[in-house]
Amino acid sequence: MVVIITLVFAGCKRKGCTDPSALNYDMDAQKNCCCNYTEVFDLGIDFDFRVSIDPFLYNTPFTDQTGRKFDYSFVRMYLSNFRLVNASGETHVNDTFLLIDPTITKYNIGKVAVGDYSKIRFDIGIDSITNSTKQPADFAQDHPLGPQSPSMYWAWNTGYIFLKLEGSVDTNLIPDGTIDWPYVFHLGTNQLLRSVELNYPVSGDDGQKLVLDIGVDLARFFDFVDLRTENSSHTLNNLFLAKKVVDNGPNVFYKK
Amino acid sequence: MTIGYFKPPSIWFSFYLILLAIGCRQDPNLKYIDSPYSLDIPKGITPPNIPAENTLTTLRIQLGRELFYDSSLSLDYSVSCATCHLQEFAFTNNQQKGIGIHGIIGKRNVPTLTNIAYSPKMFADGGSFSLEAQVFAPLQDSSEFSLEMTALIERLSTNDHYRQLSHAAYQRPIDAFVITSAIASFERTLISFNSKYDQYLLGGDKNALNESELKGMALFFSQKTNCGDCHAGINLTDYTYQNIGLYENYDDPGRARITLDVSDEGKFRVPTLRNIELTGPYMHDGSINSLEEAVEHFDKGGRGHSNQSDLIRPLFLSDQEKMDLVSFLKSLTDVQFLNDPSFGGDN
Repeated sequence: MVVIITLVFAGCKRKGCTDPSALNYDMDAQKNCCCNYTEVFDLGIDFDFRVSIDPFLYNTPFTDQTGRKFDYSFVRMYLSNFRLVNASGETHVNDTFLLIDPTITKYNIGKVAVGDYSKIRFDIGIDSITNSTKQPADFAQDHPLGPQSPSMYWAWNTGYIFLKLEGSVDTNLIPDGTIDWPYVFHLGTNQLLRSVELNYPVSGDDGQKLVLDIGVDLARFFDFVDLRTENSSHTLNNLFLAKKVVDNGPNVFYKK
Repeated sequence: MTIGYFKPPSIWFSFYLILLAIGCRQDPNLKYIDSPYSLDIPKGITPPNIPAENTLTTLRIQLGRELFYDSSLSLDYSVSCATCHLQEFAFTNNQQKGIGIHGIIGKRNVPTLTNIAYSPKMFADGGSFSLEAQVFAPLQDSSEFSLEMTALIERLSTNDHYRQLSHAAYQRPIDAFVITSAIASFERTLISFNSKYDQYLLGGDKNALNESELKGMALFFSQKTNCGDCHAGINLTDYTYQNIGLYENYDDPGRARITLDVSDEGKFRVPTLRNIELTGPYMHDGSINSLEEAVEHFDKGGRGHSNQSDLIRPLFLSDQEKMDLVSFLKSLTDVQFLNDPSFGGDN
């Protein structure tokens, strides 16, 4: 009799969800069953890179607000800390870091809990904890924070370069259309992190793939910047100019 | 019915032994067997922190040492870490500044790697937070190695020996993690606790220091000089950033380059004094040529920069006292460290 009871009890394993990432995770469960997960949708962004109203192109002359010609030879930017916002607050999207290259328009952000949202927020740059404690060797080569070519990591100083803008400009006192001088902005350090917020209604259902259309007017980084004389900052050697450029960041992005 | 051709056992046995011998000689994996490695730290001294994601093993150290001495880390294969960090000068270069590819002269004096495992930050201004992270700086700098990490990974990945070492040591192919971790591991082994000063203090050998060295030691740690206030602890540095009034106006902002704080202008990391006899010229810019000159600077009390430490003031030392201080500083030389073949390159 005792043997039969023992055998019966030995055969009854507690059923429940053994996946810790599930909504109904049961730490006492011994036999996996019936896991429920948060319903999520996939979020991506399709960026439309422009220089004012013109499509972005490398090594092509554009005209700034003062009638001065300039071009771009290299642009990279880190975006991170993506959040969707509704009346309940912010919903963070993964641990997503994007390294934006204006010749690539489509990026995956990650999975978001289903629901209705009214805004999207993200940072231009990298949060101070990651920026102060991580370095490219901590990441796989194909991770945005891994080693890049050209490098997006300062090395002589802790942290990543949030924004690189390089090109050339017509520095003649009276612009004559001759692009004759390089400009270079390598901007970063924790104090130069900037936040962007866009009103963007998003409603996602379980399993959907949604893509946001966001315009990026790169020319706006140079609002109030006189490229003729203000054409170089590696941040710490010209912090005033560095701040002027990144402070324009929130105005660069817009909902299409 | 005959099955096969039966040979006497002794011939088969010899054949087997020959096969075994050939097999063993050709086994390429015997030299890639890894084992944990412990630093040889004297009893009573706290060992340095080793990060959990990069514990020390013999193969990690071997890979790091080989990379440290490998000039293929530089764009034109002309310089390696060891070009500026020469063991005979306690891993400095006996020059005012570092010299990179194309003979380009760098911005600052080369710091010693003696007991670098204990340093919480790298560079004279503390700009890098770990030995691993530091590797990127000379690598990327166009006046040092001028080679991007991505290009270096490609270069090293074609080397069969490095590929095998990488797998054996880190269980992954050559990448930035392996390169930076291996070099950091080798650098962490550069431990020096065998100077005459150590023999006196740790080893209990009361005869290890002569009269002048003893007097110099007492003076160094006295309130008359306060040298030991900043040059404190087992490595004779408290790792703080100090302005010693080297100049009234500094070309090099020092710590302020990192913090952007005006009150950090002209402040540089207090260097270790271990092996100081070998690591001249001195100061962040190599502007002081001898230990005597260095003592003279502190005796005079600095040039009066606004951020100058209050501890820097005229000391009114006698000639004998200056000589005693220099004697003491020379007693911090660790000859074993300078000659240890496990810190050197393969010739």
